[in-house]
Amino acid sequence: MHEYSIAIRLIDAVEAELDARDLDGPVCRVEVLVGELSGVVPEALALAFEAAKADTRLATAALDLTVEPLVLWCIDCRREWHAQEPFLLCDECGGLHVEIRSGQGLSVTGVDVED
Amino acid sequence: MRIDLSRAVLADNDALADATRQALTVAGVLCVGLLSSPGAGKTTLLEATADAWDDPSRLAVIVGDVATEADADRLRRKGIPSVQINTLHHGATCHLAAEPVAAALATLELGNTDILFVENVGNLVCPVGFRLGEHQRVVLISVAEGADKPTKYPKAVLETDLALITKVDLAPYVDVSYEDLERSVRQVRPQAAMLGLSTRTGEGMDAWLDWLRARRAEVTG
Repeated sequence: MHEYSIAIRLIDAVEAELDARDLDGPVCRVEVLVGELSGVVPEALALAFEAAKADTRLATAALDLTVEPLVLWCIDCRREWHAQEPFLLCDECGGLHVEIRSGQGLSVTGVDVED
Repeated sequence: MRIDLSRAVLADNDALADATRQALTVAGVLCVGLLSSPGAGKTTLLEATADAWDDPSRLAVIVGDVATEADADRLRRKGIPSVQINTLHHGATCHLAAEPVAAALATLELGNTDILFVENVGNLVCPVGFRLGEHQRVVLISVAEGADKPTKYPKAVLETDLALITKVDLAPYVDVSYEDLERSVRQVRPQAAMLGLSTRTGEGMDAWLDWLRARRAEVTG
């Protein structure tokens, strides 16, 4: 259950972006992209965010989570697919030259700040 | 007002980890992170590594646990300068992060150090996403845990540089062999680097020590 420490870092990251723009907030909405292979459970992050946001500029912010699909790419077949499991094996050609194209990330993609 | 951002949630942690790794590279110190379930044999491996190293005082360890100084005490008895981090005091109990590791590093004298090991809290999930400044990350999986752990915890295999199968001497008693675990690791990552060893019999220790020396040579040029 590392989502609480992730939530604190998420809030710190947004506040750093506000500081860089000389914005006081408050923030009413935060958009976060959660990769299926990020190691973070969206529901657990949402719960942790509610607990962690008190007394910050995000205290009244809603968390808008979008799941980024795990997409694998076979270099030999030149084919990408949405994988259920992160196993680096092509399910068509059986080849081993498989890369993760997306789904590992965990990032803040936008915020709405009250004017 | 809408502001578009593209900021990794762990960007600050990653930046500090990068700075730590660069400082260690300049100092000629290889940093090896150890990840595993509790009880896979991380501390025992470091004790055996100390016994085999020319001078154990040229190794150093930063070790994380929720509580107690037990592991650092064990490693100091082997002559390895060691710093214990109790994660109970760092906001998240289930993993290390770059800040406490950087703070612990500042208390170590690294002038004559060959390798700094960072032994994480025993956990195959939470520590994986938190970079600490390692040049190499090793996941330890003991045969006693069962052959299915690599496929059940795939991120731990995908985001490490070496899968080290431990306690291979127990294979006949737990009905799980090195080969069973190799199949499971390769199901996740067919080209994963792997080694197997037993600190009790010494089997595989030479290959582990060779791997360490080769990785150190990459850092020191």
